[in-house]
This record gives sequence, C-alpha cells and structure tokens, in this order.
Amino acid sequence: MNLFEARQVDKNYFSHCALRGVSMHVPDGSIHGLLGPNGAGKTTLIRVINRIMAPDKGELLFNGERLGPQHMRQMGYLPEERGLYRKMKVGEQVLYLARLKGLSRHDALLQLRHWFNRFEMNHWWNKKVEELSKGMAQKVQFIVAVVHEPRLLIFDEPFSGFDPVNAAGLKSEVLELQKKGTTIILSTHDMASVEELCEHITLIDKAESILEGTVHELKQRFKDNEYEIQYHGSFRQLSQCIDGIGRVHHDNVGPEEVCTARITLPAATSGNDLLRKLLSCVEIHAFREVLPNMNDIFLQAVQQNSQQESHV
Amino acid sequence: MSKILPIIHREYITRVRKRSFLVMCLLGPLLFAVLLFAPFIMAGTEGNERQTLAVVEVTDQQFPVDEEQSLYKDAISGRENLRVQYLPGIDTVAIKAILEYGGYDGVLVLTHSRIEGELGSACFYECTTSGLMMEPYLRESLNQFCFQKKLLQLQLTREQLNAAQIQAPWQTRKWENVTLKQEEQIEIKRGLGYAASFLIYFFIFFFGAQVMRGVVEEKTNRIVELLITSVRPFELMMGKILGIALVGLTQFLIWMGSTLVIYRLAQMSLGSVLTSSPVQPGELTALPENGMLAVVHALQSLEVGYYLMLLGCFVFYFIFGYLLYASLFAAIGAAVDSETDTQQFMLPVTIPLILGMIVMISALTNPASSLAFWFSLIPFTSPVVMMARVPFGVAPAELAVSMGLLAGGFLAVTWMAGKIYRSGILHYGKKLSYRELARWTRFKK
Repeated sequence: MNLFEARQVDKNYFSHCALRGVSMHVPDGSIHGLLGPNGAGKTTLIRVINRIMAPDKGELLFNGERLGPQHMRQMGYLPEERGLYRKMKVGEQVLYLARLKGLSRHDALLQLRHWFNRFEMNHWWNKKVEELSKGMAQKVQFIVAVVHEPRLLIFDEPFSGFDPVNAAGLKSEVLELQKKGTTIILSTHDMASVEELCEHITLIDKAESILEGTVHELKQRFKDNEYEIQYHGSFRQLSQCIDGIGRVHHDNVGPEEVCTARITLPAATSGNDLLRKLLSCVEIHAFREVLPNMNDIFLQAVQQNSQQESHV
Repeated sequence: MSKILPIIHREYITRVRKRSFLVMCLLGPLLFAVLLFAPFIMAGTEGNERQTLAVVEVTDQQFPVDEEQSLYKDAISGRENLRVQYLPGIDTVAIKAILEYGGYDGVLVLTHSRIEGELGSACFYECTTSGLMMEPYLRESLNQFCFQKKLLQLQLTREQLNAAQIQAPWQTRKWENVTLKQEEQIEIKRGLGYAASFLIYFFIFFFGAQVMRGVVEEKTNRIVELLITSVRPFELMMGKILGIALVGLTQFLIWMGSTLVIYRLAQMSLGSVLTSSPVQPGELTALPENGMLAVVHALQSLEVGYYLMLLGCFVFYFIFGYLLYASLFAAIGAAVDSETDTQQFMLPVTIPLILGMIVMISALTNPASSLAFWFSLIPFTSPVVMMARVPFGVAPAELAVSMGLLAGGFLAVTWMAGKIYRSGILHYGKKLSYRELARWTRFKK
C-alpha cells in the first residue's frame, strides 16, 4: 500500500520545464529517498507534494485519495532553506507554527513539552531565534516539522549543518519516527545516510524520474558480477587459475600475507563457478559478492541518462 | 479560514510588543498637539510684536497747531499691539526727520484742507515691513472718524448718531440646512477634513510599508515556504494585512484617547472659559478674538449627529483605503528579494496617494469642484479626497457610489495582488519587470 503516489507529474515555470512525467511511489511506513543532482527538480517535486505549487499535469494521491488541502494536516515539512522568524521567541514561534497546522493550543503545548524535553532544550523557550546557533535552530525546525504527528514527513537535506554527533542523533530520531509508523520522504545528497536509512529511492535527473525501486532491487540491478576474495597464495597462481573466466582488477597484500583481490566475471559465469575454480589453486579466507553502493548507482544512472539524452 | 486568526494574532502581538510601538504611542499625541496648537502659538507670537505709529497732523498754513486745537487727535486709537503717538503741528521738514530717525513702524501724515476742519490728505508711510499690516486698520479707523465728524457737523445729536450706526442683519445659510453656518464652522470643517484626510494618508503609508516589510521579512528568512504548507497564501497575506490594521487602529485609539485626556487637562487648566454656556447661534461674532476659544466654541456648536456621520465615514475610508493599498504593498514585498529593491515598484503606488493629497488640498477650499468630485470617486484617491469633502456635506448617493467603488476596488486589487503575492513569495533571484508581474496576475497557480 502506498501512502503517497505521484503519477506522471508535469510542472513548467513559463518556458522552463521543471518536472516531466515524474512518478513516485512511497509505501506506507517506509523511508523513501528522493535523490538527484542539483537542479534536477527535487525541490519542485517537494513543493508539489506539499501543495505549495500545483502541478500542470498528473495526479497526486495521498492514502489512495486525491491529494487535497484536507491532507496537509497529516504532512510535515522540513525545508532545505531553513526559515524561522529571527526576532520571535522560540516557544512562541513553534506554538504559532503548530497552531497553523491545526493543533489546539493545549495539544500543541503538550507535544512541544515532549519534544523540548527530548532534545533537552527547555531553557530555549524564551530565547529569540537569532540568539541560537545554527544547529540549535535546526532542532527547532525539526520540531516544527514533527510536532503535529504527521503521517508523511518530508525532509529536505535534514542533516546539513549538523555535526556528526547531532546528525547521528537526528538519524535515530528519524528511525524512531519510522518505527511509530511515520512515512518519510528524505531528499538528500548524503549517500551514506541514504544507504543507512532508506528502503526505497526515486532518482530524478533533468526533470524526469529515471530510477525507482527498493535499495536492494537497485543494487541487484546495478551490480557488476564482481567478487571480492581474501586468499593466501601468490598473485601469479591466482591469475593463472582464473585466466579465461574473469578479470582481476584489484590486488593488494594485507597483514600476514593475506591478499585481497577483486574479480569481475562475465554475465554468464556465476559466483559458484568462480569459487569452485579458486578452491583448487589458492587458500580462500573470504569470499563475497561486491554490490554497488548508492553513490555508484547514482553516478551510473545519471551518466547513463545523459548518454541516452545525447543519443536522442 | 480559522487559521487566519492565529496569523492576525501573531502579527498584532509581535508589533504591539515592540518598543517602537510604545514610542509612537507616546509621541503621537505630542505630535498632534504640536500640529494643533502650533498655528495658534505662532499667531500669538505674531500678535505680541508691538508696533508703533506716529500720527502727524500738519495744516496747510504750515504753522504749529496746539494740541487742543488738533482735530484728529482721536482719529486713531491704540490697540493691544499698536502704540500710537500723536505729534501735532509738525512742519514738512520735521516729517522727514521723523520718518528717517523716529523709529516708527508707520507714520500717518494728515494734512488739513483749506476748508475749515476738513481733511486734505492722509498719507501713510510704511517704515518697516510690519508697518504694512496696520494699513487696513488705519484706513478703517480714519474713515469712521471722518464719517462721525461729518455727522456731528450736520448737527445730529449723539443719540441720532448712535441710531444711525446700524448693521445689516447678515446671516449665511446653506439652502437644505436650517442650522446656522458661521464662518468659524467652515474653518472648523476645513480643519476636520484636513485632519481626517491626513490621518488616512499617513496611516496608509506608515502601515502599508509595515505590511511590505513584513512580507519581505518572511520571504528573506524563508519561513514563507513553511507557512504556506499550512495556510493558503491568500490567508497569509490577509492575516498580515488585518493584523497590522489592528495595530494601526489600536495606535489610533490610544492617540485619540490621550489627545482627549490632554484636551481635558488643557480645559481644566484654562478654567471655566472653555466650558462656559453653550454657544448660541449668532453669538460667535461677539467672542473675544482668541483663536483657541473660537475653535472650541465652533467645535461645540456642531451637532453630535454630524460628528457621528463624520466618524462613520472616516472609519470606512480609513479601513478600506488602507486595505486597498496594503494588498498592493504586500504584492510589492512579495515581488522583491530585499527591502532595498522595493523602490522600483513603489512609484506606481505612491503616485496616486500623493496625487490624492494634492487634490485634497484644493478640495478643502472648493469641495464641490469637479476635480474634487472625480477624485473622490476613484478608489485610489477617494479615501484621502472624500474625507476632505465629507465635513462640508456630500450627497448620500455620491457617498454611496464612492464607497461602493472603493469596496469593489479593494476586492479587485486584493485579488490581483494575491496572485502576484502567491507567485512572488517563492520567487528568488532574478529581478522582476512589470511585464512579469502582469503575467503572474493571469497565472492560474
């Protein structure tokens, strides 16, 4: 079941095309990565999802219904360009923003007390935003996004501006939210956190969605039939042994003369074939399939896309 | 629409709490008091300047005349600010000396005619610029004196003479209206019209600019993107406009209140003069020549209903005039990235306002002119111009048309400004042209 779906969304700014036939499927309860190079159209898509802008064409579904103003209460947003009233006090400000989301004063205060306790920032309540450090303001912004307990959260570059300690803290908050059943769309350039958090991704490039699926699926799709082995023996032995089967393209000697090598196989050859062959000539300490990381997939997909474009 | 309330609340509270608001509240009445009393104070100091006049009497025989014989000794009597020195029997050479070294502001030289007792000529020399101002008084006094002298020569008794001193029972009335309209009332109405128009003009500019600044602020600190995921842009804009309108009204009420307090205090310190018996029509001419007092009496002579009508019109034009312009100011704020860029779009908004101000001044002297008429119908100038006309009385139908046009203009402008606003708040970077703004108004969403 998808909590959110975008189908064939088009968005033009006068002559400039920002989104062309973009589709996106966000399963309920998942953390969905929204990836893409700068200027690909991520922010526009997020604005369309947030109903800040209406698409020119296409359909947006929330929980199976056509996305409408009634759903905004169930959505939370952490924009990339963080913004708060600088002269306003923290407490007043979050209370105001929570009330705009439709919370009553009482409920809002209850929620805010919880979050302020959780982040140990009760003493900030009467401080003005301009007195806070960047990281502190980010936390306030995070609370603003989650205070009304939305079903769908949209985070645009949530980790930028955080030190590693706070970033880790935020990651665990995100996972905690997911555990409670919140669906999260995470737009980021930080591939490590995508790897860590996301189950699904959508990759947007040049106004189009070029890749969509679970992280596992994509890794399978983009893998090169490459294996990493650790062995005891000589490199000559190894290369003679697999000559005609695969290609060794990485080799180094580790401690206690255990060597590591990467071997790429042609599509028809399986890992088992390789292993069988290796067992006869070197002493194998470890054997594993190398899967591409999200960074590789990202680069490869974008590269392929621009090659296709230039062909067309 | 329930979300508009927290927006209004925030806009109101954050502004009312500012120190600048308090300062404005305190300074406002002071400023008003200065504006109100300055003319009188200035008039007062003008009156305090004492002038001296020499009345020189020469006979054509050119020999001195004794003081007892002098015929025109009492022709000019001194006034509060005029000291008259009578110099009988001076010869023409001496006159020159008096003019040159006497240090008088003016010298009136009276020459007898050959006919016994008749005035041959009266020549007034202005020795200083302030001497200029006595001329009408001198002329009038001398005329009177000669006239009475002639009547006496005709051997009329004092009683007959007094009986002959009658004045036409003059009254100026407005055709539809039964109440008396004295000259003082016209002046007061002019003053009321000016004050009302000026306040509206000031309010639009001052608080319109605040709306604009507020929009620019939300745009530059990027909170607007977050806000419009919760509320519609139009609600956000209207919330801001209404919140600031309430700030303005609060300020205005505080000003009115404190001005009344100051007025009361002034009343008490000035004693019972101001609260003395209500003025009867026709009595005004008998009032002492005290500007303040005349103003107060004229203010008191107008009916309560008149003031209520005035207040009603004022509140309407005050609110709708502000609303009309505030949405334009909001659109400007949305179309730029920083406050310094607002200038390029300010001109088309300020021109009609200033034009209204200019027409308003002329409408004060001629409320029924066609210029005043048309400008009091056009929504962009009507708040300022119509308020200058209302105190003199405007036909209800005309007023209704003007109000209707203003309300309609407000809706149209706000609708258009809302579209610019909606596109503008998400637009960063490139500077905009009017063409792009126009395109935004046609933009669907």
